[in-house]
Amino acid sequence: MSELSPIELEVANLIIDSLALEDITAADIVPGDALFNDGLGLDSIDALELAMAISQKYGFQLKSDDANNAQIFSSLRNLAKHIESNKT
Amino acid sequence: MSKHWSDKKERSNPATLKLICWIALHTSRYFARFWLYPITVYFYLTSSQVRRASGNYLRRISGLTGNPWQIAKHIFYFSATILDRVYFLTDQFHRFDITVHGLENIKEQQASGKGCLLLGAHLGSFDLLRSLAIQNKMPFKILMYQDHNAMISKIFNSLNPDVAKSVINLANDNAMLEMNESLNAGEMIGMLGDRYVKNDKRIICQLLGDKIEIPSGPITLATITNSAVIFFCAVYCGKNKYEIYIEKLADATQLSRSERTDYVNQTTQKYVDRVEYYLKKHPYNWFNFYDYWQDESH
Repeated sequence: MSELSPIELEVANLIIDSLALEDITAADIVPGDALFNDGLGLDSIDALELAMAISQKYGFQLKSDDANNAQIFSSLRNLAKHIESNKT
Repeated sequence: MSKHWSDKKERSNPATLKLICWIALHTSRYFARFWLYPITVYFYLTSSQVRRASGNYLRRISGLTGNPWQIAKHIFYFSATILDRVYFLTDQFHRFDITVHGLENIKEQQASGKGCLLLGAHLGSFDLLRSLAIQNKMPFKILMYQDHNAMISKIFNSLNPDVAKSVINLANDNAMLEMNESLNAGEMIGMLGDRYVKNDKRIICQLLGDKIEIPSGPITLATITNSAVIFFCAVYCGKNKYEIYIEKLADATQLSRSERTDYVNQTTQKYVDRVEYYLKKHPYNWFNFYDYWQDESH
């Protein structure tokens, strides 16, 4: 079990719901671990679907020209941090 | 194990290719085409993989046997489209007899203001369509891996920087977001759906009687982004003649993940069926010179 902050928990559930991940609960996602490739095994199409779910739920767009995208999507912790500071 | 296409070494060398470009641009297409005969013979004699892949494919087409003459014609058609690429990229369309079928599908889509996916295959000349689109100032981007064939794309990109600028590079982390932004801006996204790279999700489809693996990505992207899918191919018909076919493959359909498996499978097979239809009509336009079918590694 890993300790998730409230926003991390919310984003973890959004990932699980929007990507219909089976056999996994929010508690299984380690906030500092990689989400894509080696981590949860998600690919770039999953990333797009997640980005669209985020913009729908939190009212801001993830932009392709943001130099920090790789970092933002690197882990649940970073993604949650980014959402918290950008949501409207 | 059959060899994957990306494992295949680039066969042409820069000097030869530059020379061909120079001949193409500074003499005539007629003269440049003369060189296609020795080039065809060279590739026929030096690449057993090309010979085998071509023969195995041609035998699947009714009426063809994959004999040396047909294999040579197959290589010749491929070389001819590479040469013509030089002319397409330099906007010399007047040299060609080009017939376009189904242009209304693109016009209707553009009139709607919504972006769409333009899904093609390694069937005929992709560059004819993309050069025409760019010359006509159509809002058009290509989603592809840019670094494969780096040398060949470097040379061709130098002929037309606008074409190079229209690429969304899949090797780039932000490619999917970029593509989505283009679609939202009403642009058409061109891609070829008949090859996969190692980590792509793929499904089994039937082509010319046997199983093949096809990436599920393109149709999945269409359902995620609620985009229509238009099928296209630009086949070479000998001499200076090309036929472009544009067909609506699927209307914009947005589905949740749980609902979309069947839809993606069916629509991807529908795409493969269109590829098959045009291969039967224009068999020498299949430009996948590697073991394409799953059971072909012998």
